[in-house]
Amino acid sequence: MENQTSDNVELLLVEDNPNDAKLVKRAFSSFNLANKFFWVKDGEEALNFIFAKNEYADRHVEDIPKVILLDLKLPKIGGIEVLKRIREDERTKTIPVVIMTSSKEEQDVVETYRLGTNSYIVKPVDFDKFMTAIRDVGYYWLFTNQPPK
Amino acid sequence: MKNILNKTFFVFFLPIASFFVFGIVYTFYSQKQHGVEMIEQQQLLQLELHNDRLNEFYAPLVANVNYLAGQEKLLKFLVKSKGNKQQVEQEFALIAEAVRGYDQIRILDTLGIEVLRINHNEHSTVVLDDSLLQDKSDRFYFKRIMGLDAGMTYVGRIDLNMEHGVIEKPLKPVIRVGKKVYSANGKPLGVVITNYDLRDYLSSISTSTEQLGQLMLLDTSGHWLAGPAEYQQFGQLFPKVAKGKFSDYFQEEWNTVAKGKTGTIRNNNGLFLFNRFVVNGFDLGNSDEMIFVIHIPNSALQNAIGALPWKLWVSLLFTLSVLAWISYIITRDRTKLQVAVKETLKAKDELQKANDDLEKIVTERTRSLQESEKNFRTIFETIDSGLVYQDAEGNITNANKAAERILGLTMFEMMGRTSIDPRWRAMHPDGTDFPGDTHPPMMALKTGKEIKDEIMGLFHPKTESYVWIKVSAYPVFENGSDKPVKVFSTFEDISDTYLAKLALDKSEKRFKLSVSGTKAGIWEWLDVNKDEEWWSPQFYHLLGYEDQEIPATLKNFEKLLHPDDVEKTFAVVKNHFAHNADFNVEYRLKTKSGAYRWFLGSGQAEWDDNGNPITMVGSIVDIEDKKSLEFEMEHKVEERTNQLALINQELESFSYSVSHDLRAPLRAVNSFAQILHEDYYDKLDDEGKDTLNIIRDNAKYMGKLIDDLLQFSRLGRQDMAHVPVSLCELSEEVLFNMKQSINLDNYKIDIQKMPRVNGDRDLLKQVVVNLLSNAIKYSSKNPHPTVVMGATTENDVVTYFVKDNGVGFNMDYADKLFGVFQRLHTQEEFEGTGVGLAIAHRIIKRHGGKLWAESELNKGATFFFQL
Repeated sequence: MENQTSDNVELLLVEDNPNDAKLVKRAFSSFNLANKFFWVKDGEEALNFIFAKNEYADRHVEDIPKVILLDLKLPKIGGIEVLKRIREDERTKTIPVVIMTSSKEEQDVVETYRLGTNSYIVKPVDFDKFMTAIRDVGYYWLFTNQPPK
Repeated sequence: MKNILNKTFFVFFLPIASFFVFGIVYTFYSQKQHGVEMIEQQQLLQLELHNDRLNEFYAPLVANVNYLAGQEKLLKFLVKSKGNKQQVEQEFALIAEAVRGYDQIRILDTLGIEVLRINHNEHSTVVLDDSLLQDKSDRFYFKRIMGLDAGMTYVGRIDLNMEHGVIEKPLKPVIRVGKKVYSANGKPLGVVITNYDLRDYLSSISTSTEQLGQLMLLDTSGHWLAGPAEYQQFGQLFPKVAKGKFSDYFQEEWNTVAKGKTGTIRNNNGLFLFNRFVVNGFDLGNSDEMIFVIHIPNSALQNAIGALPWKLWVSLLFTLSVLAWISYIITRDRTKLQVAVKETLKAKDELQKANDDLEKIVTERTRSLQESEKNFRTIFETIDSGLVYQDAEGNITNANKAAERILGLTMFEMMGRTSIDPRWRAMHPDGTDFPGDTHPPMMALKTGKEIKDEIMGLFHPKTESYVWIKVSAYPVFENGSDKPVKVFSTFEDISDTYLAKLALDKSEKRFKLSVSGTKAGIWEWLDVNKDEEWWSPQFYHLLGYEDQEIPATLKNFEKLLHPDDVEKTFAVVKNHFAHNADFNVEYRLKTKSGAYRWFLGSGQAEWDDNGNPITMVGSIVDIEDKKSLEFEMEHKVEERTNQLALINQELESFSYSVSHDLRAPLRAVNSFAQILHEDYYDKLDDEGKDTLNIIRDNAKYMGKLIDDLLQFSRLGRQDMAHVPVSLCELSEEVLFNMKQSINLDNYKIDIQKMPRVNGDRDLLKQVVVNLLSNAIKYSSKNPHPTVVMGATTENDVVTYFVKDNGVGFNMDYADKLFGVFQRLHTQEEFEGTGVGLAIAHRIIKRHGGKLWAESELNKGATFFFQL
């Protein structure tokens, strides 16, 4: 997971669990997108990356990723808060956000849709199912969806 | 005297008196009328006299002016102006001296300028200096004279003198006479004018005492020339001063006066006589005419005619007195006789009447005595009360039928018996002996006083029981005696009421006992239309009051009632009145200390025939302890509920954590085992491969366990819908989904028709899934697996079932079927977590139904459920 570059990021993964992050990255490896994949470990780092602050100050906010995969349960700043901040800012509010979580709790689903999430997937325990789910979502948002310019 | 001045007197007196009075008065009035006519004649004569008298002033003036105008000296003077002025002056002065009363004699030229003027007064005659002569060309008389034909003389009416165009003061009424002076050849040279001072004449006529009424002299426009007062005269010359004129006062009369030459007016204002003044031989012409008027007001006229002469009054009075006396004499004797006869007749009548009355009274008395005797007899015999007479020794002398009946003895048996006769058996109400010598009649005889309403029980020989009577005894005295000569007793049979009262007393006593003994407070609403109640002592005590400490009224009850309970309580009462509904209500009443306590109030009303409530009785019971227990319970329940809710919440967050946090490491184990399998499988030996598979299988199994456990725990919290659900459709749907992942080709699955149920579709679907998958799983080892789902209905109760021909189970373990993680088979035999049936069981229980199973080992199993 080292050696990642913050330039030309097409897929941003916000995930505190390194195992899950590794699995996600593996899933995307088949698309040959390793260079365009960037992983941050918590909500704070995610916001710094998206809004080009602190350690990511040399980035440009306008240089938005094609999709953000966002875990809900995160240290420091939670996934829902991150989603809210992205949607509040004119520059970032059009970025597609896919919520990824272990929980099926209803409340989470309703809240994230209210805040403008684009889709929602529950991370299955089963490896194959997990891989399939991640690939399907990534494929759609990275290659099929035409973001508004 | 009064009697004499009666009708008879007036019959004589009045006609004669009226006749005389009428005659005298008539004579007087005809005299009076005649008097007015006389005065009229008299006054007309007066007018003629005045006319003549005024003429006497004019005649010499006319003669003098004619003389002066023809004087040769004057002609010369006027032709040659100043030449002979002195001669003329002398001539004129002579005339002025000769005729007393001349005021002025003047000569004017044809232009109206005075050329000569002689002023005269009482003392002297003065010829005025030329410088004092005036221009009179504007004056009306100059113009009138100049307008006259030759030879004619101007005769003017009374006018005021003016000097230099101003009325001379004091006023000087004059009359003027003038004439033109002609030359020999008939050419006018000037004018001669004389003024005559008329003051003396005018004052003489206005102050004349001979004149009856007012003499006035008017001009043709109705102004006074001589009249009632000086200020009213000559109004035509003082137009600014409202002096008025005759016509202002007497308009109607003036209309007549202005038209005629002479005449008489008689009206409400009095008598008016008028006459146009004529200078003998001269017509004055319209503008200078004068009219004499005499006005005699009615009062003056009456005075003149004179009142009824006093002699007339005297004679009238005298005549009446004489007539009255004669009438009196005539009537006196007649009246006296009449009065005497009348009084005799009246006395006779009265005597007769008194006699009649007396007779009537006697008859009436006799009749009423007979009647009262009869009445008394009737009463004595028919009255319900017993009546008994006893003599001074107490021997019964008389008794009525009621007495015979009540005492159970015939009259014959009673006669001669005394009260102290030992055969009487009597007792007091309290059951003690009632000795004969203390019986009411004996006591009345002894004391001489009335004995009232004494109650005694007497033995009735016929019914052989005691009869209860209420006795009153009245001693009877004869004239003057102070010892009673007999006694009279009345009594009634009160056995019925007396016994009833005894019973009532007893029941009342019982009631009182019960009331005082009970813990309930008793109340009675005596009349529901009135605010009057009765509260038992206990009622008061329950509220902390002394007995009757506050008035027992509905109003007070309402005051005691807790404000929040008033509406509820009266609603119950109203409902009870209207429908005899249960009257049981819990309310709070304020105790004397001010604290409220809970009571159970109940009551029962009574209604009249029309269904209107009359009275109501009821009770209150203190339920404060019970209530506070109830409150405590409620409080506890609430507390528990809150605690449970809290626990529920904790459980929820716990399961959230489980779902989130347990799954992540599991996923890691599972996934990396898979990665190991994908990337390094060929590098492992067989044992390594087995080990890896065990890890993967267990990780998967644990994932399923977690999912099932979560689902199970969520069931308790989830909200439930209640909609009609078709179990047939549900089952088909479930099977369809199952067929996607499992091959069911060799299964015979029969879904029968089932009634709809009410419930939560998603939860019921879970039940169907669990039961069907269970049946499919456990029949999988049968070569011809069969699953049947259906329902039976018995007594309206529907029982659904799922039947399979699988391995079944031993009924000994049936109680373990529905426990969580309880399994009757090993994982090797049949996969499973042991949660499925627990979930189904829980869902059905939440629907208020039940789930059970019947089976025999190796003979299949049937699961039943009712909802």
